[in-house]
Amino acid sequence: MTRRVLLLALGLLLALPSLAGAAPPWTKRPRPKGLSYGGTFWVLGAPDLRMEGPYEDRFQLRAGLDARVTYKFAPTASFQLAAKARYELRVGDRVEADLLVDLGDSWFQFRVKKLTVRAGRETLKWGSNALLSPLDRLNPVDLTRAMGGAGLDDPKIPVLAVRATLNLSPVALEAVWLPVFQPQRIAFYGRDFAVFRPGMLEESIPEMVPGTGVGVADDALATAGDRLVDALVDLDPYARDGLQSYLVADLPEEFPWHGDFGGRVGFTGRGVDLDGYVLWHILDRPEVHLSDAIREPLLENRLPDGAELTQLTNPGAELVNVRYRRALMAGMDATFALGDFVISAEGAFDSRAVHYRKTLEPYLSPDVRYAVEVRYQAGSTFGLTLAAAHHIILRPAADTLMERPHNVTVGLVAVLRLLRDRLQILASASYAPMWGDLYIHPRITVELQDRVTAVFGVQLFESFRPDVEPGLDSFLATTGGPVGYFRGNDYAYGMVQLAF
Amino acid sequence: MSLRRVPPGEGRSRGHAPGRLFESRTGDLPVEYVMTYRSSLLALALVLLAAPAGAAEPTADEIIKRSSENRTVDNSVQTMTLEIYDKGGNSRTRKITSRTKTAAEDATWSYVYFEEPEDVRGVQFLSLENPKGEDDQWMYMPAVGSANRISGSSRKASFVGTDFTYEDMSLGQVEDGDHTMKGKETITVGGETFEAYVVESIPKEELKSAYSKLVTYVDTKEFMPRRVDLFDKKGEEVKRMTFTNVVKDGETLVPKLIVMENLKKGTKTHLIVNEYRVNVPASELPDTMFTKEYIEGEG
Repeated sequence: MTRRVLLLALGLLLALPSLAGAAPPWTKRPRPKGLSYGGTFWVLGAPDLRMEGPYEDRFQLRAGLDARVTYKFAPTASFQLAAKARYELRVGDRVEADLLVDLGDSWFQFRVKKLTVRAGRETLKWGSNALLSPLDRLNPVDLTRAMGGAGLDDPKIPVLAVRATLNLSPVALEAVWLPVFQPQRIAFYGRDFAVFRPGMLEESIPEMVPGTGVGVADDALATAGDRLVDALVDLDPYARDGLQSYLVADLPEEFPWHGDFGGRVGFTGRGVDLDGYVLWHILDRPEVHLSDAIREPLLENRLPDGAELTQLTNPGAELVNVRYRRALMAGMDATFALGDFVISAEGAFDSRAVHYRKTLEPYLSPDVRYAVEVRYQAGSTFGLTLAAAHHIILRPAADTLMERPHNVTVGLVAVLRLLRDRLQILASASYAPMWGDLYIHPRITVELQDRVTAVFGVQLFESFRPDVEPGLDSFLATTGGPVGYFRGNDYAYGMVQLAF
Repeated sequence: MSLRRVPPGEGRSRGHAPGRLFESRTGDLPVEYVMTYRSSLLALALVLLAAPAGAAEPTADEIIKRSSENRTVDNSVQTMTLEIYDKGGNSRTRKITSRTKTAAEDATWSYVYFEEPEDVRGVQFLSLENPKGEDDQWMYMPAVGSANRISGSSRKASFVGTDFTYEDMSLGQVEDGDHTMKGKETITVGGETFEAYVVESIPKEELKSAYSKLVTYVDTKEFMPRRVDLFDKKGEEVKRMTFTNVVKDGETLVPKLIVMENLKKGTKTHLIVNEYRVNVPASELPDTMFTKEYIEGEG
């Protein structure tokens, strides 16, 4: 199957030159009234620019296919079915490939007078900020794409949802129900943008294999350690990335009540938009309590002692306890235009959020987040968005892992369009001064034909992360934030995209 | 884009163009692709209503006024194609659906939906004219998933990479310039020959126009502009706009093909009106359609 996808990608790439100059065959097609369909296909190659260890990916080849069918069977009712497929080939010391096929935004919508209801698998957006948005949290995020997706894939995961909007212009009332909890998608190991950096398993597990002093026995144990590493690394990629699904064990309530419930009141006046939000939701980040028999040897990078081994082998012992908690989020946003500028501000209060100590123990604290954004635009030629966000942990622990009581992030996106919009030069960047986290992403997009686009870019991650071996020590010793944690994962990419 | 019928003699100036903020699907962070745009494309398409020529020769102001008075009608729905040609003759296509409505206080409300190509499909633009101040404008981008308020921007900027600027969308208002009759001339446009009034218009200073002068050739029979020559600040002719395939719909003349040529760059854009309906019943264009919530629901 994966080979077929690859061959299809190569075939389309080879066909491109012959299509140049000729009218693309997909431009003319009869469609029944109310029916529309289309999609995009892309192929991307991404070489690693900064190798830090032997286990990193040196080159990635990715291909994606998005397709959708929309049928508007009445002026007030429509249906959409969308699907996406992703293929990823990672070449390093190992060659690995993943194939993911999933539903995209697929829903049914109808309007009755001033009421609009949409039900199905949806990507939802709250908040008015385009760049840094504390309110935009209804969908879980595919964290493997959020950082290392080369910025080409929407990291939001569509969720099963029902959204009803009552449009009483200038006031609007919206209710949202997400009946099924869906966790974020996280890669734990085995790839560049995983929680445990490449090499951590390979370096850590053999170190934990005890020595006996007997050559043959030590060799056998070392071989067993290597085999354990191989077994873990060779796990089915979906299971490896989907481990978090197994952690969703203890939700606060049973279906259908363990979902998220939200409401919004919006007001649109002359020159200003205001919204107020409330969300009663299950936190994306679980409290994971590790048994001391696991946690302490991990922290001390040693084998369990006798008492710990007893505890570990006790059938009744609870080694890992995972708990998802509920929280209340309340927030608001305001947007207004000021000459050629648009000012947008958002704020959100969370009654509780999960954080971790460097002892790998979770704790809870209420949090506040707010962000301000300024957008400037000069026709279609130039656009600039500047944003600043502040995250406050109201009751922080002194030894919080990879977070700080206050964290400020500034970001920008600048776009310049030339040659009648055929050439787009984009620069995006973010900087967290308290962490020293710096992310830079310049990109050039060239429209080769009406439906064929080429994209070239570079993603750079920088911070103050100490240069230590990729083990648990480096995880705990990280003084930067999430961007800095992936320092060294810089890569360039080139992509061709076809719209059909 | 407005398509509004106003009482004779009540032609009025148009405010700043609505704009759009458009995110490319290929962006991880929102890609600002901003385009402002004034009134509707159909204001450009349905440029002037014919009026019978009087016994006496009309003045320049009267010629422009007659055209201007009749170029907009009440509620409309139209689908249009933009063919954008580069110097080498290669073209790109954009298809849009535009809806306009005349609201309270005689304000024009415009709602544009981008139909094709796929990578811009679902981009929507909403503009609510505010007679007492800045217009309210929002742009919906599928990749963002919400309608963002946008500000008015440069009238001189290109409209979605075409040869039209936002200023071009609102040319021809009598109060926007000083008009002088330069006589009559026989011109050929789209293979047809017309006798035309030649009117020179100097844009008013406060409009901060990109042009120093416009020369409009108005058909003496139909009072339909057939050609507009646009001159830059150096006095050089930089662009030429022509109106062809004109059809009559009741009292309204509809140019189904408008061509804007950039004489300096050698590029051109065809604006083709595929389907149109004017004076659409208000029930088909409810007020709730022209709201931020509606375009978010359509996304």
